[in-house]
Amino acid sequence: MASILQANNLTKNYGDLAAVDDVSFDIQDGEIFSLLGPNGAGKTTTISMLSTLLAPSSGDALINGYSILKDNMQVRKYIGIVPQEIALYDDLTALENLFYWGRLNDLNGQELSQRVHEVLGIIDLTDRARDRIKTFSGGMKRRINIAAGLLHKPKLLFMDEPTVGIDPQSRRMILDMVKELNQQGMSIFYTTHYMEEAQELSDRVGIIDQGKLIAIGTQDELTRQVGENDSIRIETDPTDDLPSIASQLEGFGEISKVMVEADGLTLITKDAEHSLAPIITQAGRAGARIKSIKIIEPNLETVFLHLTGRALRD
Amino acid sequence: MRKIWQIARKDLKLIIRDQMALVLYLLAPFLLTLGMAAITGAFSSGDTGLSNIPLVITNADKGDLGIALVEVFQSEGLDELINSILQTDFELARQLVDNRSAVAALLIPEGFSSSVIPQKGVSLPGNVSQLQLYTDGESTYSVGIIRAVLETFIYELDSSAASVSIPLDKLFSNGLISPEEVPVFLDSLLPKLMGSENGVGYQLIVNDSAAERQDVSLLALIAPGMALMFLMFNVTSGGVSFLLERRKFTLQRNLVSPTSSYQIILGKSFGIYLRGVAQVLILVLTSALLFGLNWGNWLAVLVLIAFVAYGALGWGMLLTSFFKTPSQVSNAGTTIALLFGMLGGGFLPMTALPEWLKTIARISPNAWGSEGFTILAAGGTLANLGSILLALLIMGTVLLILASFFFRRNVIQVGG
Repeated sequence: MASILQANNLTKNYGDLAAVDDVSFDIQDGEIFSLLGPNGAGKTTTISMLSTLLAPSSGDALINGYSILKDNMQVRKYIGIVPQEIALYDDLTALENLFYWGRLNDLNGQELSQRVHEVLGIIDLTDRARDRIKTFSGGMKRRINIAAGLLHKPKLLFMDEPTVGIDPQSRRMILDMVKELNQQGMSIFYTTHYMEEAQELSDRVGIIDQGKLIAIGTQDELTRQVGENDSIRIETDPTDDLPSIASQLEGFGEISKVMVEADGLTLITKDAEHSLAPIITQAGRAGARIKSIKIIEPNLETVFLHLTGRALRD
Repeated sequence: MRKIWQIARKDLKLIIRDQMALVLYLLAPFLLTLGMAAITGAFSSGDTGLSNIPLVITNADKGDLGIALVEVFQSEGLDELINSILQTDFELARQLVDNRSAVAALLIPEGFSSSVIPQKGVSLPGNVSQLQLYTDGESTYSVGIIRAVLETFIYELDSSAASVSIPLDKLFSNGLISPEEVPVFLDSLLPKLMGSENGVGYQLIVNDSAAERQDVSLLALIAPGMALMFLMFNVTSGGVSFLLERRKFTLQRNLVSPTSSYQIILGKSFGIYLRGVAQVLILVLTSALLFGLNWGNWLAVLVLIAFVAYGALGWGMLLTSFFKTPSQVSNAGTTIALLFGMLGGGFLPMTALPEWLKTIARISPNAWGSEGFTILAAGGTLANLGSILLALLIMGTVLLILASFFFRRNVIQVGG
């Protein structure tokens, strides 16, 4: 399978801060690739560079064989973008917005009209086509926001956290739409800080933190990085001295890492099932008033925890 | 070109749908102009706020009407407002205007009185001798006041109250006619005085232009300055919309489409430009239709509006390209619009400014535009606007090139 995108050593510096630091990866044609990371990790900056909006400080990327530095007008013909923000004109109708964005993406005449009505059908908003965007709910705006990126049938669609701040029903619809578009042959670059979305959608996942791409692979490949380790999540009384408890659990038994969180601790340990009893005893001795305990199978959250020592939502 | 038009059309659509913006762009300047006109006396005979307007009068007539006209300008009621001096040689009087010692020179021609009042044994000539008013072409407010006084005198002379009673008094006192002859005399005199071709009037000569102007009011003098000041508000607020698009991420979406940044800048600029042209044009048209203001040659007015909007656009876009937030542009735009409005005759006549400030005022499109509108209102044509149009063209082009450069550096490069 050919690469639709090849990013080579992409870097973006703002003064001394490296928002994106020497990131390299590729996306295969027809693949859904998710970039998973907490807020501020560098996901949007990476998309901004790849979509030719922002010039990299160094490095380059090829999209459909064209350099984002040298052939940015060519690159733009093959990409679509769904920004994290609702990038629409509130005082124009849905139809006017779509016709405008279509024309800017070189669609005209019958083809434009046909595509506008097609995408309105895809996002199930045909009946609201003549209403102004400002009268739409948040979820409906998100759907139009996506439609505007699909009009010209891009080979590669960048979606930057498209489900932020919307109701579960709209979120479900968007996730299903992403899968549907992918089945029609569109490659998708999807950024999110929701592990569940990355797990559900992605063929491959890149994990980014503090501007660095710290892991990349299929979900199986990534969870194997955690090895046989499990996570144990202990919820404690809010008044407990968590740093003190954490220091007493560090290195106990098979525990390899202890993360202090707002309402408890997360421990990385081998063979959680057999380690659990002694860990509870030790935590009690350390002063923990345990409210609940949960053993978590290895997943992308665990991987992130394992790699960074922090939870994804931090 | 098609994409540039699409972007401009979209911006115009957005403005049309924003009712508050429409009020701000179109209605507010019109209302403010009317307000200013009322304050400065266009609708009343109130205080104009000006004083000691220098006027040179050459009275070559020596008749009663000539003396009466001089006395009107030197009367107690006007002595603080108009400082009139007599000069026997009209050429010298004109030179005083040319070297800015006076704002206008009035010639009461030889035979003026006798062309209106019959003399013993002499019948009235076919045409009334015309007064001549030579003005500096810049002191629009001051000249407007002089003209208002002159026109009032002429109006009274033309009306039965003045044009008939004065000659009748004279005729009676000189024993030229008897009471029985009055009806016959009126039948012959009134058509002569009231007829549009032969009535008393005056010829307005503006500095080096021989063009004659028929109708000027203070409203017409104020309206261009106001229109141009609001044009500056308009273009700077257009710049604000550019930055708002960046804040709302629609600019970024434009930029990742296969549309060059130049097309986007030009499209946005074109929308702002059309908005500015429409604003000034609507103000001009409505003031002409509602108040009968004479703006001059319509083709030349249209061309001047097009050029002055181009110059203003350059300033608006340059400001936008320098600043990074809408509030910064808005604040700077308001300051510049008011400053240029002041320099360009929006509040005070440009003649009231010291010379060095008049020179500085040339950086504003308002000053050039005001000068152009004054020329056109005084009867000038497109041919008289050559240097003004060239200046505005250069101003707009240079500023837009600079703006484009700074735009690409400061606005287009956005962080993610």
